[in-house]
Amino acid sequence: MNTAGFNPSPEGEPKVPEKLAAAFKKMPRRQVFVPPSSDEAILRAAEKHLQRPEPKGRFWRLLRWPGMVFAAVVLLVCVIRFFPHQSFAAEDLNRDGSVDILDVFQLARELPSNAERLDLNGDGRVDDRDVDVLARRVVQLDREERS
Amino acid sequence: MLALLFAGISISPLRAAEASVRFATVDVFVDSTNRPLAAYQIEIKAADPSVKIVGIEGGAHPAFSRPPFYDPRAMQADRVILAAFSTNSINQLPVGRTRVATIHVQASQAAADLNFEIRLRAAAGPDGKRMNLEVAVEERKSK
Repeated sequence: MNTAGFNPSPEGEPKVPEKLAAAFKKMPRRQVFVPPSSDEAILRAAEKHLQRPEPKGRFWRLLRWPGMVFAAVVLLVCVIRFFPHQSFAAEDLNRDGSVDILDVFQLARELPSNAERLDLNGDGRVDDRDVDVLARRVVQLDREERS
Repeated sequence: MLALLFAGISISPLRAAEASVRFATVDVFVDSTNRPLAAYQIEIKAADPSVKIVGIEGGAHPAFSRPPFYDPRAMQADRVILAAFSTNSINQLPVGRTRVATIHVQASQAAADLNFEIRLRAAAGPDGKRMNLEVAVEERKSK
């Protein structure tokens, strides 16, 4: 194949079909005259298009960092509000923030148990006596509700 | 004669004291609508501070027939916190309106109608989950 004036493709890349290459060679070689004014007009339009910033892009670029900070603050507030760090009293067995008959009820339902945290009277055993101890605590008249 | 006169004088103040005091029975009711009740805690306070609590009994349903837990210092006081629970199975728990406790009080005759402030502290079904209750106290009228 005559490849004069045609740069052979590196190995692996697709090549121009032979018929197409031959057709291009047969085409008359005509010079097309482009007036300088047209050239300049096209060049000015291209420069104007490339220099004009995208209105939306600039706006969002300006808001990017303040927006990220705001979103982080909102997320932090939500986490603190819905997952508050809370310490519970030892007698608050159901971890609802109140020491009341529901904790006594839960203790009674868990009997028998070997859990040390349920040994409220400290006698080494978890039994009805611990239930009584906790029940007396929740009905005390001068007890303040604490979590 | 003198003995009879003396007896008359000594009995009159005693009868006057008795007439100034009356005892009343107050029933504590709860209404769990259609859910079984397994535990409750109620605070009751007499509106008149001269009303004193002198006795506490259990309720009507077998699950709460035993006297509830209360602070012994509530005796001769005008305020008490009652609490009770039952680990019975679900079909052995009260449903709807039921009397859970009875309070005996001592009142002066001047407190004709006994008024109480009632506050539900906690209530739960057999699963231990907190629930709401309608609570009320009613003076039992003697027949």
